[in-house]
Amino acid sequence: MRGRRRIKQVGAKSEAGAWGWIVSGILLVLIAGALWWLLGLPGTGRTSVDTNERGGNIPPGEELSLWFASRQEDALVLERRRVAPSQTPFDRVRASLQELIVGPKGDALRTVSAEAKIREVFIDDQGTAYIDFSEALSRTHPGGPWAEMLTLRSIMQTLVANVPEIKRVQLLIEGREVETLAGHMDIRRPLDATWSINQR
Amino acid sequence: MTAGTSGPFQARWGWLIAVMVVSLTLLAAPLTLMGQPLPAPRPDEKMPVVVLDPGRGGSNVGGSGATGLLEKDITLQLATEAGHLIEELLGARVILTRTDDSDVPLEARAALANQAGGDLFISIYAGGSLGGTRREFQTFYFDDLQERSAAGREPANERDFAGEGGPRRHGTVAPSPAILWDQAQLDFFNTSQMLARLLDKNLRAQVAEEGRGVFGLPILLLRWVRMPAVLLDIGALSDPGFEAKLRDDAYLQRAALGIAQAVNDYQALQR
Repeated sequence: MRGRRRIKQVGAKSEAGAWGWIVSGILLVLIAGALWWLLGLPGTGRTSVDTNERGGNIPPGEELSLWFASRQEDALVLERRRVAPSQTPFDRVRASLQELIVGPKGDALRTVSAEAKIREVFIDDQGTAYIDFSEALSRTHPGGPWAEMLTLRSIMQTLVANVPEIKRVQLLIEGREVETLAGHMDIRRPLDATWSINQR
Repeated sequence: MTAGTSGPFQARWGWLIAVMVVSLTLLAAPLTLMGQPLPAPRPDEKMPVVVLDPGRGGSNVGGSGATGLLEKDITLQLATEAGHLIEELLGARVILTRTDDSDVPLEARAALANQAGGDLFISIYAGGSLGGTRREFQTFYFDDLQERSAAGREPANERDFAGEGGPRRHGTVAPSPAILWDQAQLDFFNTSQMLARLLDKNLRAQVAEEGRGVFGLPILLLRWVRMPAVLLDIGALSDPGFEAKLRDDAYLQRAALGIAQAVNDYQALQR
């Protein structure tokens, strides 16, 4: 009887010790995992929120630089926005212009009418982008040389910022070259990347 | 003795009066440049021709205000009043590119000004605003804003063609008439800029408002005009407060006087 009790007591001790080892092991794994997640081990690339989103199965997207008009209409202001990734420069041009059509999310003014549509996009091997808009771009524009200039510069600056291949931009309306955007600015020829406000 | 001493005394007074008369005359001269009627031109002096261009017209109504004021009507009214003042005060000949509610194409406006041998061209608009609240006036002159052509003085067509395998600037291919037409404004960069600055200065003085400034932009109409040429955007009709101002005849009169004074100042500087 004494021997059996001893054996039972020894068995109970060894069982409790095993559970302790298991719990300790789990805790160690959890702590190591937490440290690994917090500090970021070399080679994992886990250094930005974007990568974290990727790990969470959230579409990564890409960032676009969008230029809208300031509230005072005296400058362009930058707004960054994440959109679905583009496969080609053409897609990126379309995505950039589509976001200009959507308009600013912050305290800025839209430069392209919400009614405007992008009909076609083409980039030649000289870096000239041909952007074919629907007639709403001109028809619904408020007019005036300054407002036209802000619209053109907004389009130009946004495209150059997001699509490095683009050197110049030729605007078309309903598939045709037009003389002016809304009665003033000469857009018969491509606008180049240096096109900007020229205040003296 | 008395006669001997009164002689130099009277001569001194004579000199003093002469100096005062000359000083007053010199002081009064700038006042003439600040809007007073100029003396009639001498018979041998060519009567200057000022072309005023009321923007929009016909179906091209342009901007509109909340109470229904139309840009095409304001531009015609302001150009007509400025034209009367320029004729009456400066003795110049004034030509309007439209005198009624008709839609005159841009190239026809430029052609009319060029064929009339105009000395100055002022286009008038009451343009729009992206936010609907911009109201300050602005003056513009032509500037191409393209690369290697900060002043827009390099022929744009030749430059563009040269980059695309077309005729070179110094090549053997003669420029087409369209190229020459596009270069009409290129010789007037400095004088157009000067006129724009004078317009800005005089309008600030007359309508007691801060303008937005003087800017060079590739404005197609100005590109085709072969004389010093500017575009005045008097403000945005879409702003309700500014629309109310434009309905005030006194405001328009002051703006018209500002235009006339700018023409006066420009002519004075060219003499």
